[in-house]
Amino acid sequence: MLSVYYNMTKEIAELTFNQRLEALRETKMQQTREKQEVLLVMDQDDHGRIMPPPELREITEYMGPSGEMVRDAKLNNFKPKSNHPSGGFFGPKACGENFNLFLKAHPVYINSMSSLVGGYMAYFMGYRNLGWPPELVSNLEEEQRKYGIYSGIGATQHFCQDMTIGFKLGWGGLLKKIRHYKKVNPDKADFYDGLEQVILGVQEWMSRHIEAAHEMAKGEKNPTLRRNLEEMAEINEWLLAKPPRTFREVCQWIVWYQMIARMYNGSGSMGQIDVWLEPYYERESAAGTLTDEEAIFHLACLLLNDTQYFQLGGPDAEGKDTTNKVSFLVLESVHRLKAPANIGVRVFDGLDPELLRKSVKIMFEDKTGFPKFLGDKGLVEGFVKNGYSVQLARQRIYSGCHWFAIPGREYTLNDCVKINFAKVFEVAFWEMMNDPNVEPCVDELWRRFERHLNRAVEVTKEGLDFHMKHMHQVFPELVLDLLSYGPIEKGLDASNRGFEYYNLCIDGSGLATVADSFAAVEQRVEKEKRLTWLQLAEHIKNDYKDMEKVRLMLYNVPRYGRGGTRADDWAVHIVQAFTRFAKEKPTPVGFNVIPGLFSWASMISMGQTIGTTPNGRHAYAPISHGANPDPCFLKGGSAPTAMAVAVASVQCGYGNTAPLQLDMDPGLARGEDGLAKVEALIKGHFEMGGTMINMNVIDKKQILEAHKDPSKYPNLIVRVTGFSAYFASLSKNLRQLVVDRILSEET
Amino acid sequence: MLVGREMTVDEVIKEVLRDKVFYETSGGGVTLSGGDPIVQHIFSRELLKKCKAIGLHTAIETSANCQWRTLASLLPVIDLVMMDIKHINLEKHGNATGVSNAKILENAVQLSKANKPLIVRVPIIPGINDSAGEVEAIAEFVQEFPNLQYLELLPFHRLGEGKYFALGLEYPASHLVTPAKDKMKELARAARKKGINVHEN
Repeated sequence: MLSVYYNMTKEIAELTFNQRLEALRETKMQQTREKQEVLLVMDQDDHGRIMPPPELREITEYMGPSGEMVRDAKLNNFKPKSNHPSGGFFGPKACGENFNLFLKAHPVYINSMSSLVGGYMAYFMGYRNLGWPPELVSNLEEEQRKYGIYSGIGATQHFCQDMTIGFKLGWGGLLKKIRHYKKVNPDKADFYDGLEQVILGVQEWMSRHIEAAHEMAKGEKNPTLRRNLEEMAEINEWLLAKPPRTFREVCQWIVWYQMIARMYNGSGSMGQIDVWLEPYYERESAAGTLTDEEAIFHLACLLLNDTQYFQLGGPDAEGKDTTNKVSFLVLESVHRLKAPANIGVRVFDGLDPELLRKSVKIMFEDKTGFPKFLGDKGLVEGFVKNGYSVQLARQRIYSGCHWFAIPGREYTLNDCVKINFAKVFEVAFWEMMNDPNVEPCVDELWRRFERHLNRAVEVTKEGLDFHMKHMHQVFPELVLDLLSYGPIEKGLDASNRGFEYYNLCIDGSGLATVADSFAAVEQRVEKEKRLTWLQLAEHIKNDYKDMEKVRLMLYNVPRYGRGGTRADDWAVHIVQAFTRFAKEKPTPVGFNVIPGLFSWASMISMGQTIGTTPNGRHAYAPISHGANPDPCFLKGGSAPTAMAVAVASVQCGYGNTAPLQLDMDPGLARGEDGLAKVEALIKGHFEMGGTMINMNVIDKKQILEAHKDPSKYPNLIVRVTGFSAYFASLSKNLRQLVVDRILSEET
Repeated sequence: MLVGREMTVDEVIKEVLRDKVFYETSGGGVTLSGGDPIVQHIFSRELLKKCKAIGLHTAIETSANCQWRTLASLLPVIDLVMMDIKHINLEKHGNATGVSNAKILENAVQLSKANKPLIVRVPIIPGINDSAGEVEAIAEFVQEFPNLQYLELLPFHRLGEGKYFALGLEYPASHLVTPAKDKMKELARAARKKGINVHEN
């Protein structure tokens, strides 16, 4: 079996942590370059994934976890066993067994500079040549296509496990638990078999690393690295079956879990790393067995392994701030790494001000779009409106792109389900224009939009029920089930009532496109009568051909984000209607639904399904980004505060997010009060009910140069939407969207 | 009117209040700049009066090149004054700006007695006032002001060039470059010799 072994030095003197970190950063850059060369573009999170060695590589394309097609490299030494006439494999037993075989085929990866072994090279979902059994038909496809619905049927993960279960039990304890409950629920044997196969798979994979580490140590001349390899072998010998005992062992345990979670079905959820690690840190610091430098190094090695979603700070269930020394060590480790990281600081009244200050400082110093800022007030006050307590709401932890979940207890399908408002608008507009019995007017357009939006929400809810009915038979959440409350105890997958809480997320996309379109037709057609409805329809059919003046006239109405405009009113109107339809009743089967606003990186693909719109947008051009106003919405004004006010005004208000994407000029934080001003902006947005801020600090000149030639800035990292990625890894289209956003914002 | 739009005081207040939460979180408020708010001093006074009535902190940025009574009329509704002093020397000031600095310096002295926090700003223009001697002279002039918060040195920049181009005008400062960081530090050191608080922007 192939082992991939990195050793960057012929040095025989002892190495410092800084030297090792420098070598690891260099390796990361090489691996990123290799990914870019092989995969061409990666319009998604920059994962810590490593390319398989050339002799094991096979290129493929498949539907990714967020509903977009991805180009990928598979391991060619694994072929799944089918249990279905279609050639696919479905159900817990087949999924578990195949994942076990996949892990068996996966090479060993050790970089002797790192204090943690392991690296992952492929995605199991790439082998699911059929994502859904063809005999399971929802009959909803037509309406889903009509309204541009990303239904979430077959969507995976996007909720959060509770890592502390794993820290308490270890792999051995989890196996024991599974075997115990298999006897309690013998009718669920297939499910338990699947879970068992996952653990046996990871233990076998670990064993090969232990063997390899011992072998490598024998031949290693550098004393630091030899010692390190032996330590890593010993640590993993312990962790094969037992729970982690030390700070480093917890980090190693996390690496194993996060790799199988990512490989199995793309999960990147983690949670409150500062809370988990605090007891280990305090104990070992007091005993003198762990220095801050060492802790930072282990954290850096963990974060280099993958770009998972963590939360720092924030209130515990009783409202007390969870910020501790580890929170600062995590910030410091990302600061030193300068690699993509998806970590959010939960801002609330009781947050340690030093944590917020340090976060903002790092944001402006490093300019890597790190960290994110999370609005506790909007999140908690919103979630309780679903009928939950404040204590429970505080336990909803940041663990994904734009979302939160109660670790191990709440199934959410966050970021998987979207309704394209612009598609709904298009349906309403042409239905009105093609109806000979009605006189077109804005009121009529709104009535039809509302009716179709209502129907789109209904169709989405029906789709959710269909997913919930069948997903456990198709591709159960075997890895996330391991560290959750209920699935092992009941023998029921997370998607199959194994959990305590079900709050299914539905996001709306394209808000600004539609709000600006309503405002444009209201002002130019109805009020000013600059053109008739028929003329408008004709221009839209022809995509404004030879009518640039008309397009600009429509484009230049006061837009959503400006404040106090009709477009702002329309944006609020649309969101209120959407929220009302989402919340007035659960899904037909009874699942609670929570609305939000988000488009992930789907603005391009969503736009490709829609023709010309009355806001001056050309046919098939991208739709607007999440809850943000469209670029260039404000001439000569203060865009950051205007955007913060606008996005705060369109929060759905039930605990899911409508993130604010802010791209800031580096000059904003200059001067004595610069950082304080940025903090005030963050706090102000959250005070108004905002739920999340994704920020970039980016020089306009640099981004333009990087867009022309991305290879000039291989280290440039941007927060694209909820996730961050190397700018050079993005497709030209997605880079263009980021550039348009940044160029249009004024400070 | 070639550019901009006419607004009433209430319309401006409506815009101002959109950012109200940020004034609260930052401890900031409303600053009238320009141009120069003293050019429309009656409107400025009414606007600032309304800002004070709703509890906002107010400030003006001004050249202070006006009759004292104009500035004095704004003082009751201002919490902070930021004014520019470009040169102490009358002739050099005239050569560089086209106007005398007499009223400016008189107003500065009057402001020092007005019991309102004062920030004096010096835009550092290469070849005009970018020497230690010039900056020291300004620092000496303000060193006894009891209400001086600090002297702020602002390096020249070419951000205005775009406006000239847009208006079809030649940019008269096209030959000038932004002073280097080391230069600004040197000038700040010179000013601090007078025992005052100096900020470099």
